[in-house]
Amino acid sequence: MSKDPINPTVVTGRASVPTSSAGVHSSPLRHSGLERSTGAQTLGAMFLRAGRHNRAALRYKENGHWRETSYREFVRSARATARGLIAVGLEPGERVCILSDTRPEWTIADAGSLCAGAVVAPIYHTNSPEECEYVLRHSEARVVFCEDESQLAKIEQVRDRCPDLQHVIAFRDAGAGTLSAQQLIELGRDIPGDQVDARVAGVRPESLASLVYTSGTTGPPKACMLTHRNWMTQAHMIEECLDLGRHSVPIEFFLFLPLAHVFGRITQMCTLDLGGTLIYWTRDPARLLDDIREARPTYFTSVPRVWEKIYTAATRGIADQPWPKRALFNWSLGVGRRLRDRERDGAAPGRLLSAEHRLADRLVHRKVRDLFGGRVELAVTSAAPIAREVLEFFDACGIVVLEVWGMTEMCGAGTLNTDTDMKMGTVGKPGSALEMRVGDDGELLARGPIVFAGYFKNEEATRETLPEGWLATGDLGAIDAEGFVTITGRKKDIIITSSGKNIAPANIENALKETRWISEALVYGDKRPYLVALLTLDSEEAPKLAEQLGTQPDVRAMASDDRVRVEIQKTVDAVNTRFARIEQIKRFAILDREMSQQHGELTPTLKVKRAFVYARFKDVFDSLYD
Amino acid sequence: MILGAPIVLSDGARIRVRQGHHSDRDLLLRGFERLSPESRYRRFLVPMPELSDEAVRYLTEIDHHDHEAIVALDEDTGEGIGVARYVRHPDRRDAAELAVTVIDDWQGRGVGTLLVEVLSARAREEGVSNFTALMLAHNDEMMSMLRHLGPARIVDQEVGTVEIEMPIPKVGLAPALKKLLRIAARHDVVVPPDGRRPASADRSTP
Repeated sequence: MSKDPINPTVVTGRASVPTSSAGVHSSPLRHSGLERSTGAQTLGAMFLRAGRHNRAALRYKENGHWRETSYREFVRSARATARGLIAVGLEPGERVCILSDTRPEWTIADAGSLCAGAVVAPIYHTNSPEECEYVLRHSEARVVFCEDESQLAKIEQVRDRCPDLQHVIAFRDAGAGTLSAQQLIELGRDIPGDQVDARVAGVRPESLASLVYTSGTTGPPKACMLTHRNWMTQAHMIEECLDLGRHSVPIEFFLFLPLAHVFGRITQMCTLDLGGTLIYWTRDPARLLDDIREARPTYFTSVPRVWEKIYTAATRGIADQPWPKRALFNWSLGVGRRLRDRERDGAAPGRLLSAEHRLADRLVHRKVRDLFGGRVELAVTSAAPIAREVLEFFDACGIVVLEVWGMTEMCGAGTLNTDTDMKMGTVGKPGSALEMRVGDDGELLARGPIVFAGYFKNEEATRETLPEGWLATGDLGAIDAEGFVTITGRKKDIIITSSGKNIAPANIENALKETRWISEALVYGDKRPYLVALLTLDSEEAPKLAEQLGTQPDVRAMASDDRVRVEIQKTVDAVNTRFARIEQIKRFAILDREMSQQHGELTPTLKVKRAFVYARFKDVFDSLYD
Repeated sequence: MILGAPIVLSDGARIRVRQGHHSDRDLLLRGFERLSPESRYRRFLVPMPELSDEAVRYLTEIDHHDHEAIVALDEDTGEGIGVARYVRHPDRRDAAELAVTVIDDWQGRGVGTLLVEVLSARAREEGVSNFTALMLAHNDEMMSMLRHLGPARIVDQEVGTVEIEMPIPKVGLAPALKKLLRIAARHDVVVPPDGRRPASADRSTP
């Protein structure tokens, strides 16, 4: 039987994936969500076919007004961009970088590049110039699209060190030595449209579509090679498992996650494949909730950080309310939970519970749903672990937040909870395009057509990550009898913030330790909104620092001296400039001694016991968050 | 005794193995300079741009009883290429922590396994019956090196690291070691690279 995931009939064919062989699980999840799909096998073909959809592709706010771009216009812009790229000499398979926050131009640049047969290598808009340079050089990018002046300025700083980079294209106003997106389109006027069709036709499902950079433990990021088959299989898998094509609901997906992250980008791909509407945020984090309320999306994917924010906003002040209000709130949540439990057990709620629920819904639940504009049909959380109480709260209020687990190396989702098949506290079952099993040491292993093709120019890392054909996910976990996966720990020593960004602490720790006054730096931030660090003063250098600042030459006293703090803050600030915003140390504490074996922080052979330090100084770390 | 005798690795390279000394300070520092950031991270579990004087002092305070180190030297240059050491746990006389480092260019050539085997024999002589090791959870080289010695038990698993404990085989490595010693007597020890062992041997223990 064909393994082609595109043809909807083959979806049932995936039952042929062994479910009973020892320890191997594949999902029984099957829906008919693919009916609206373009059915394309490459991203370029998907964009071109999406032109048939008869509705708005992109919705965004400009000068205070919501505007829309229809699918016809969107595809016309993508084609025009592709012709421009062909006109300036971009060859199939060459790399194009996009350096921008999430906005409609990102999607058009992405579609245009892919329709020109290029490989897209996104760069986080928060990256430092040094980090941008790394991606540009490593990917050997010919072209980079830049959002605005601040991004152009970063490229300007490093351009002469990027020998392959030929064209810098600004979404809006171009400066000297750059093209504007409009100028690019004008250059492409003479390129016949069928050249774009030929480029798209020349791309095979196994061709490389994108290089997505992810943190390694030490050293620079690694570039995941994602093929067109990876993307399209992943898109169809999500559409199918989450039943995104369900008829009654228009797909209006709110998009604020960075498109450089695979989670945001696969959301974009699914929406366009199904003819839904992408609604873009206004790029002001302080206005995120306002944007959502105004945009009234039906679908919403987010990261724990945002769910927690909304949860905090909704429950803020409840504890300070007078007794009756507090009791009403808690009662209504209890009613919501009972109703959900009944529904999931397949039982009728009964007249009393139904009546109670109508009241609770009117008094409390609806107000919570209105925080999202009141129309959310399906919400997904991913990229980092989320607290169960947060999920249960929204669930009781009538918003099912489905937890999904995945990684860049599988082009997005690996396991999914769905509204018909979910278990809170788990990350769901493996999607239909993935087989999973637990390795000897408890590591989750995965294989299937969504698993990436390896790391670009890094065969060693590829071998380590894909031993014997299975993707070593780096997460430890268990698979229960029903097939639900629970993540129990992490094999990789990386930090995943509550915004879902994977950060290898080693790079910034190393940079801190290279400075004169700091001897040890342990960065912390797992499941937290930002990074903090516990620092120790170098006892060999401390007397010189004391002399310079006129303090007591005693590390214990210096640790709490304001003058020392100011000096160390300067050091931290200087180190921070070399890193992307999300990787910077926002706050720090200074330990009043060096780490030692005697205190249990070091092992007898001088290894640092990170977990011990995190546990022992939990209060100190906690105090660095508001 | 294997110590001090020249050994020929299976790829033809000649090395020499001996006990570490107080006077190895400069050797240690030069070796550290040649370690990649990744290897340093694997050794100390944090980035280590430089070794403090305090650390160098500690790592060369080798009393051959509570703290033993076996070093490997490049026979051609006399430079250090690897070291395996144990340091006894202060609160457990029968157990010691094991740490192994091999310079990047020499990794995967059998040096680490050889050092651990010699160190194990020394540990037994000093009354150490168990090794513990704290390492990165994805340090597969170290894991397979230890599995080569015998069954290891995972005692702790935290984000990114795993701590294992294993009894040092009383006679388990004797056959291998005896063979080494025998050949060493002929100044002709050939050590196969780690990769030569059948993969199944590595999977036999959790």
